[in-house]
Amino acid sequence: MGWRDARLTRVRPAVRACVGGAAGALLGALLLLLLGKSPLAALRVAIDTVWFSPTGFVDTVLQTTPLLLIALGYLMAYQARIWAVGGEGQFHLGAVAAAAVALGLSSAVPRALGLPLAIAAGVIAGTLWAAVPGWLRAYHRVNEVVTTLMSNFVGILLTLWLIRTTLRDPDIPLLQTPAFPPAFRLPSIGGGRLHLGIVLTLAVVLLVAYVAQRSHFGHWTRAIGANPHASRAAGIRVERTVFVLVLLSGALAGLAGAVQVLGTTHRLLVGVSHDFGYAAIPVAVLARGQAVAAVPIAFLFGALTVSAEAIQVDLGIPSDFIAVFTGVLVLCALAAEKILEPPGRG
Amino acid sequence: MRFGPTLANDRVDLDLFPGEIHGLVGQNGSGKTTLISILYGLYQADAGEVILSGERVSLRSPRDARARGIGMVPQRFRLAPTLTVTENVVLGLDPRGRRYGPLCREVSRQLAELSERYGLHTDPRAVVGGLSMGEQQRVEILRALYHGARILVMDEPMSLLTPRESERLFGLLNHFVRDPGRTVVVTTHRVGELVGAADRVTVLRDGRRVATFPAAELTLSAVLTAMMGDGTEGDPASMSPARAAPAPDRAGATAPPALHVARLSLAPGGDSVTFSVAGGELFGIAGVDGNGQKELELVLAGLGEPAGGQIRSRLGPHAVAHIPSDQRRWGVIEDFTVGENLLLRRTATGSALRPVTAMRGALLRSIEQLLRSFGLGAIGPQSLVLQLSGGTIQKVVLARELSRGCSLVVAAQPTRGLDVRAAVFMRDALRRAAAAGAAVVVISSDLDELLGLCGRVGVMHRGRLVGIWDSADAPRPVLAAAMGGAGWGGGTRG
Repeated sequence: MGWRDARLTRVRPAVRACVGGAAGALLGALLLLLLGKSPLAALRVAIDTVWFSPTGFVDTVLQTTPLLLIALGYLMAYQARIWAVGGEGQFHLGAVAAAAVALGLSSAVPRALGLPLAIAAGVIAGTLWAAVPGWLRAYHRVNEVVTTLMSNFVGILLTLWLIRTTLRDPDIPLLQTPAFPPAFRLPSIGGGRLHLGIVLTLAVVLLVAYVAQRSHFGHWTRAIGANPHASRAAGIRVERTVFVLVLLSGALAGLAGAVQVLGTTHRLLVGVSHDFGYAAIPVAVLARGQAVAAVPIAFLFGALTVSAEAIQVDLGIPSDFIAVFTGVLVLCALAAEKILEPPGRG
Repeated sequence: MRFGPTLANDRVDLDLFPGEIHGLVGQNGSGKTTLISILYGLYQADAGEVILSGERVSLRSPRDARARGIGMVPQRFRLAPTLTVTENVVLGLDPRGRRYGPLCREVSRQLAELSERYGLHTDPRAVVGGLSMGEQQRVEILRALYHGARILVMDEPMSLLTPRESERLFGLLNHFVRDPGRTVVVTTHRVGELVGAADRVTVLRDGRRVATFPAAELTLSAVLTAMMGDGTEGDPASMSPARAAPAPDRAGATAPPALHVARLSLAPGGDSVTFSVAGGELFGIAGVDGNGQKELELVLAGLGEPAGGQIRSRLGPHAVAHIPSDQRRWGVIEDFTVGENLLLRRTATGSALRPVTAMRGALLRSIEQLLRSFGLGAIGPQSLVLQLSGGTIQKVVLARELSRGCSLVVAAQPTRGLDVRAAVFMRDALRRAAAAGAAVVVISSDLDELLGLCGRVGVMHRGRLVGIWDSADAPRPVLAAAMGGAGWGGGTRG
């Protein structure tokens, strides 16, 4: 961009993140040693699972996709120091809306029309679900963390209720909807489980990278995050920008829900989200407003989740250890961020 | 002491004797604050030592400094406004093994004694938020004394006080140093108030000590000359704004008003403010801090809603050049670069999705040109505002606001915290803006500055504009009385 002294924004944060990541990995290894397990064996199992097993890589990518989409919304809002963490509820509502379109419209609708409609329904549902917390935050200064978290519970339980009642497949004794007709499934890439939603997600990454880092809108969000008073004095419409940010985070989480059911599960079912809305929070924190940086970070977290089971089966390490390790990693990265800060900043 | 490439203190010697009030003067960025921060243990010197009563001491934290009897009164007070004086003092204590209630009562009693003994006239039960700046300062002094301060370090203590409050402050400091073993260090860039009040004065320039004047040799011109170096602006006559100013410009007085403020209420049920300012006119608003100037400033700048009344001007929104009294809150984004801050008004509006223009080529050259024309050629557009001194930030805001060609300029406390040279620059810039046809409203608590700068001066008291006077024939005692709330004896509503 040529806007800032590069030393202060680019290289140093990357170095700091690496130091933090290394410290977190060491600490995780230490924890494993305390449990009497070999960290190297765990690492080998994780790498084997993700890269060399028949399903591991595909599983990881499918786990990464929703995580990444939700994290993109969070990180944009976080640039303005807005913690809009309603992704879990918005994801569910996006999934419900996409499923409703897929099951409600007749299968006579051509794929070229039906799929975009279903995706749009998911995006709109996520946006609407974010509207109330967003409006309260932007125009009435109601804490967005509380409202978005609470809206998650409502959204998740509303989804469960719909799965149990209206949308349920009456022929199967499971809590799930019927499978979507083929016209409402995202096209597969290479015939396997990977689907077009992944390409769509990468396109969204580039779009968010532009909006968050290059556009005037991104500039406003950074200004608001750094000093909302001076931003208002300079003429930035602070309330409107904040409202749009929360709506955008809802839209992206809704999109994630739609992509998940249309591309991965092909039906709406209980447990459609693997806590993506919460797992995306550390991804957004660590990405520091850099949409592209969120890709490897989300992949890392996806890989950890996917390898957790294998590590439990092969080495007897409880799969909960991965959650502990994730926490340690994030804590170390954040600590390194602050401790290694260049001098003269605060 | 070094900050990045800046050498803030370069082998500075400072001797403090018991029983003296020692002035530490220098322009913005001369290293005053760094020096006293070392004294208070906030920074550690890279080289050199602190010797206290013949003993070499290591001050690694404010706690060390307090234990050695060094107390600090910061420029920006560190008080919780919703708590009482006693509660603010108790906040900083180690509560282990003490119950809160009895502790408060004990502290309250001790504070009352200290207040009595040193003539601070501070009620330990008063809520801090309801106190004036001068009273809050005395709370900070009281807190330092409570911690056993024998050396009292005060950073820019006069910057928020009226002349009368300053006088009173020095009265009680004099009282304090009469006790054995007591010393006061006062930093300031307002030299005039120090002469006659301080026992000795040390002058810093560019991080070095250039001179220390004993009381006998302490004259305004000597101190100013030492402060300014060999610069041509060393002439003390030009330091006094009232004398340095040319005759007030009243050419625009007959033009139609560019700004008309009618029966404006700054608080619900508040009193009215009515005045008009013509294009080309400099209009001053005087008053003791906290009498509604802040509210008026924000309303004029379009940042606050008045409780009633109206503002008529021939201007669109955001057509007001605003030099805010609190530049760090309203003026700049400290995490942004100088260039980004200069362009902030321009980038704040318009289509959200168009790209931000990279700062190079013609844009970069125009930014550099702007910086040079405001005497900021030494700082790059890529520097973070965070790393600049207060005076430099003020100039950055000035450069941005005055380069927009606005027909209304609202400058609030424009020279507060600025050194002599920067203040002269600021006043000249405001005069140029008026000469170019803008209506300029200057809000300041420095009456001399307003009388030298503005054609007419209004005085605010308790949210009300109590009168408007012509600077040329303004009787100072009347204005001072009006600032104190004596009604508007003789002023004319304009």
